[in-house]
Amino acid sequence: MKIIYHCYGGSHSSVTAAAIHLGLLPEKQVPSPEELHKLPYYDAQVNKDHGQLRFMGIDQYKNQVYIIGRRNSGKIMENVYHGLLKIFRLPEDEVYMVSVMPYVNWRMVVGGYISRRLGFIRIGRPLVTEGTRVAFLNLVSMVQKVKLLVASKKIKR
Amino acid sequence: MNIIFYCHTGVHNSLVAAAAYLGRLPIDRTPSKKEIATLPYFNSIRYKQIGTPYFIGKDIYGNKIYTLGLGFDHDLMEKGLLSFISKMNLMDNCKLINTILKVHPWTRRGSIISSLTGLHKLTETLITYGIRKNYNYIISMAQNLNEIISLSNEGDKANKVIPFPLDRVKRIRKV
Repeated sequence: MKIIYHCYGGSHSSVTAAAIHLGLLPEKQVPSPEELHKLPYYDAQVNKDHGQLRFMGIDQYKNQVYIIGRRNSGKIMENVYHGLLKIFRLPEDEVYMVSVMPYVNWRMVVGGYISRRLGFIRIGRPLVTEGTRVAFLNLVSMVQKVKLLVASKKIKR
Repeated sequence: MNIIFYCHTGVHNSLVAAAAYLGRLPIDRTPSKKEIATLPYFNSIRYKQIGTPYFIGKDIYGNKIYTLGLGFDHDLMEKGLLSFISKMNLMDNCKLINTILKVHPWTRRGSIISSLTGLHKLTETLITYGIRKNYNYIISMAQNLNEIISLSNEGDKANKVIPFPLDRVKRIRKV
């Protein structure tokens, strides 16, 4: 199964969620800014990278974890991906898409905009990192729910 | 093989291109407004439904023809579509036809208003006007695809996104 975490730019919240899923970040404590900055693709993707599926790793249940930046086209992207699965007669639960946008706070929005869109990394990165740390525990609970759901789907299969 | 025509909504330019490819619209003249508007699924989509593929029919080689809408941020969605298809290893089993490149401005405006507001009847005139203006391009695309498909049935399996045949359109205009 492929699990795709998607957010606006694919740089912060989805990367963090995927890293939690893969065990790259500890679940019980809020990571330090350095730990976040070491993550692959964290605060690294720019406008031209939006829409590209990025492979993050394979979890303990052999699911492939991806991230994608989809700007404001989340619903359309979900429709397209599920539609393609139907066209190619693949099982509907082959792909599981998770929107991380509900967990994004204003610090991440403003910091992400300043760092990624305007290119002022020195100003934007600390703000977006602080925002990620504030949202971290919510992201952990979301990822745990996703893992449970995916596991139950695998059992049903 | 699956052939997927895509445009902003999947029920305007791509639908007309698919219908022309299947021979449901004339290739020797521009179709009337009524001929275009009576195509199944034509101009019948709301914004939330964009991205859902529509099965249009089968061609003479047995290929399944679909139309797909990518929304109005189509550059992003095109990347997402190609990325997904390559990650799922589906490239050998499909052809993607981009019909966005020559969507007439009036068709685009009409399709935005139609999908956002649901005023399908009111926007029909705008959309069909744009489609009829650019019908030359659509026909050349359908004919180009027909040639490629017949070639691929003879053994040449080049599976790529088929670019819009601008050189061919110029040739047609000269004639």
